[in-house]
Amino acid sequence: MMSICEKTGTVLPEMNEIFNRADETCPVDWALNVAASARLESCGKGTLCRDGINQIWQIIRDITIDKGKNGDLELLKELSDMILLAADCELSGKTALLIQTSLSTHSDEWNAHLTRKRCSALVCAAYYTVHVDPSKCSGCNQCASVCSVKSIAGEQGLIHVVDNELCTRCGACFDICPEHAFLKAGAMKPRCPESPIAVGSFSEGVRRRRRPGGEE
Amino acid sequence: METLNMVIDHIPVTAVAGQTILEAALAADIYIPHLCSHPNLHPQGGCKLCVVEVDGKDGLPVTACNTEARDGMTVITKSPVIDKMRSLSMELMLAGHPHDCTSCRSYLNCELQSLMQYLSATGVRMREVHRTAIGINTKNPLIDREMERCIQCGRCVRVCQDLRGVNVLKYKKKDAEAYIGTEEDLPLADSGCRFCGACVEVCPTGALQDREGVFRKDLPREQSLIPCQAECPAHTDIPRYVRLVKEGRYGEAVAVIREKLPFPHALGYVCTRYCEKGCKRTDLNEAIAIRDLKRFAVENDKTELWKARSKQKPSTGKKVAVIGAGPCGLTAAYYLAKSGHEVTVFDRNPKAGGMLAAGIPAYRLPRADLQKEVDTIAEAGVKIELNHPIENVGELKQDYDAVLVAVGAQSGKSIPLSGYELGCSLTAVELLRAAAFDGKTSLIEPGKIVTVLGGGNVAFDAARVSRRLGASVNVICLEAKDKMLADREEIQQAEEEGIRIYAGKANLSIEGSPGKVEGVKVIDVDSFRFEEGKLVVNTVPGTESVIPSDIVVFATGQKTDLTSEFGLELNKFGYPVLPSGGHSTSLEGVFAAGDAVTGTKAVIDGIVGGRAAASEIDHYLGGSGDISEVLLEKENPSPYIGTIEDFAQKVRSEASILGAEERQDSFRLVDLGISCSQADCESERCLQCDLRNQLKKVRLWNSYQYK
Ligand code: SF4
Ligand code: SF4
Ligand code: SF4
Ligand code: FES
Repeated sequence: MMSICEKTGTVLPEMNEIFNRADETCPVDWALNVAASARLESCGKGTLCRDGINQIWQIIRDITIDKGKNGDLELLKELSDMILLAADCELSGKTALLIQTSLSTHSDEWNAHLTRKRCSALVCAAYYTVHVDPSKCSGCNQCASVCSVKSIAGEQGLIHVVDNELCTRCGACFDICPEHAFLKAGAMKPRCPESPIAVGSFSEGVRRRRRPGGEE
Repeated sequence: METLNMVIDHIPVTAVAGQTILEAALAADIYIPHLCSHPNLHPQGGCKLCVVEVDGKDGLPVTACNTEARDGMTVITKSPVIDKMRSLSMELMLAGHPHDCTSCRSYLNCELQSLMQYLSATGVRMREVHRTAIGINTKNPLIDREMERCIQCGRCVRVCQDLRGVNVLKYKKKDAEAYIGTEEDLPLADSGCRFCGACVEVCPTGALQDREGVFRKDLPREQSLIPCQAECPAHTDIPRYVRLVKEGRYGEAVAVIREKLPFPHALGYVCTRYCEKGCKRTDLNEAIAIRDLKRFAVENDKTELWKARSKQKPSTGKKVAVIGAGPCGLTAAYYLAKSGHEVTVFDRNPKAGGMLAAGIPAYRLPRADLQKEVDTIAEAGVKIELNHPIENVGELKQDYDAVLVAVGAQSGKSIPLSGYELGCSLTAVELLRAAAFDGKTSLIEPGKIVTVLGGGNVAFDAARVSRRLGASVNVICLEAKDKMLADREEIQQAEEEGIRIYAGKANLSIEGSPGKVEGVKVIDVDSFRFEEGKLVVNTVPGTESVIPSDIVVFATGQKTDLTSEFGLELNKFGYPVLPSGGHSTSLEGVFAAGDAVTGTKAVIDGIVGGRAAASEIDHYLGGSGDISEVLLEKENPSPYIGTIEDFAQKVRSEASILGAEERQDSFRLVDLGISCSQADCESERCLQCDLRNQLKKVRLWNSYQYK
């Protein structure tokens, strides 16, 4: 059998990243990046590589934005199994192997994304919220001016409050806040004022509370 | 040839060394689905539909299209893993493919659709893929690209690169989206495309299509793909001889032409060029100058190698008489003589050639060149009796086993016009014949004003001949200037020669007194149409005028001059009745063909009629009726056409034309033909439409025994 393609997997990360996962990396997001790089790199000549990796990318992307469907994980497995079996080049083979390995090694995390809408590393935007730690906020108002969708309420001297319905999770506020007051939260939400109040007047600190409609 | 024994799905199969598993299976009538592979192309192994398991390696499928068959191999073409891989691959292709098969021009003629059926696959499990690169490069001449239907099998890329050597189509990426495109997304015409159509031919989907209207749909496909040849009534193998001209093999080119007709040189001067009207290159820029190339080939044929294989059958002892030494009669006589019959042609004119001699003026067709082709026919054993009118075909038949009536449509028609009785009128046919055989007519003298009625090529022949006899000339026709029936160059050259054209005018009457015509009264035409065969003209009231004239020439059609005394049953238009639908007439052993049967048509139509009649007569006389000849062994043209700089932009070569001053007073040849470098350039412009027929058709699954 002649090979139709000599693409290598050098654009892809190494397998050990799956096993030595740092807490702040999300395996689903990591797999999305793998698929994205492979899709850019694919030469386009083989159906399973070209359309298969593209399909994998579309499915994982849907999973990260809360558009996953029942059966997606099985479909991802089938796709990566077949791509691996049919691989003509290192690129597609390695891509499939990475996805396949991630699916089995981190199945809990994949399931959490798909069925429980959770991203434990707080990376996938659909699955975390953004908050201002009321004990840290100095009321400098820099975050409000940098937020492009005006999701941060507050004025000089007030503890700022994020409206998560508007927030796009762009992260600009995290970068600008001199007090490092911004927090991401998954299931566990910090206690924050409902609306801006004077700096220093909210003293209860961060506490667990049930998210409305949440499972915990 | 080394043979291999293998077993495919428990069926013993003998394969040829070097074959792939797919080739071996298909040859043994065992179907293995396949899509990206094509019998004329190197396998790419991309679609994965052809996966099979080999030598018991279950669960480890290999692609059959690019795995070589080996002796002793066992192949399984169906298993759970195989099925899964095939389905998945189909589903992936369909995820990005439109669902509306019925609106596609390839509907029911699509390999993808047939495979969907075979694998019962749909794309529903998959995320729908929205593609954005499909809008690139959709506006091109001749080829429609509906790239939303493309499944990127790469056949077009491989045919363009590997088989054609043109290398226009490539796998490209727009961000992460793969698509089939050109360098810098240039339009095909600017990217070096040679419009060979191979990519369209091999595309298994509706993505690549021939532009609607480029090919006729009423013909078998292999014929319609070569429109020039399809349109030529003789079906001359035009791309073949054009290629031979390109190679400088003029003798070979003539042999190819002569396989279909015995008047290549005359046709090179005057053929009506049905072929050029069909030429596919017309839709790119301009048709190939096929007629000029034909003439060039004949005039540069130093070898006459067609003679070597010219067929001469042994004598049959049968005698055939042909009445009429025109293109039809002489053609029939030629092939009948070569079929072994003894043939005599009778013609009432002093020269052979029919309308080629009596009608077409010498400045369009030099008589020496015509005579040479007539001589060639005589050399084949045809006796030609000139100045020999035949009054009654029945009497003639008594001395012959068969008779062909090919008398043409030699009498001019005049339209009813008041003032005709004043005299000083003649038909174009009369004028042209007198000029051709006597060099003058009794009426036309220098200084006279001749007005020709009619707008076709014969009208222009009459006008330009009158001009050369010293007259001052008008042409009056019903059609507007841009709708005139004559060839564009005829009209242009006539005007250059000082001939005045009154287009869009209807004739009302000839004015004058007996024996002295003063002019033709005309009126402007607003519109005209034919209702149930009758001409209905709307004129513009108040626009009457008289065009001063001494002589009126009717170029308003021709008919046969057969009468009942001739001995054939005639229909109400005066044409012989052909009861069988072929060429045989009401008299046993008497046949009729050419203009005498069809009414005025082109020279090439007469030749084709003559061939058909010859075949029928040979059959009637006990022969096979096969007059076909192979004058040149079939070459195997290279599919690898490579690139040519600015191929799409190359303009048609125009023949050089003798200046108006030099030509208008003499019968010197007007069209001087094309030069050697022009012939080279012109033949290179050809799209070689015939090469497409070298590409094999893919057999669909339902035609296989094991599937
Ligand atoms: S255009 Fe046709 S031949 Fe070319 S890749 Fe697409 S489907 Fe295949
Ligand atoms: S050269 Fe032929 S195969 Fe290549 S793109 Fe043009 S028409 Fe298609
Ligand atoms: S391009 Fe060549 S082969 Fe095609 S129709 Fe014209 S003359 Fe014939
Ligand atoms: S036909 Fe073999 S891989 Fe497409």
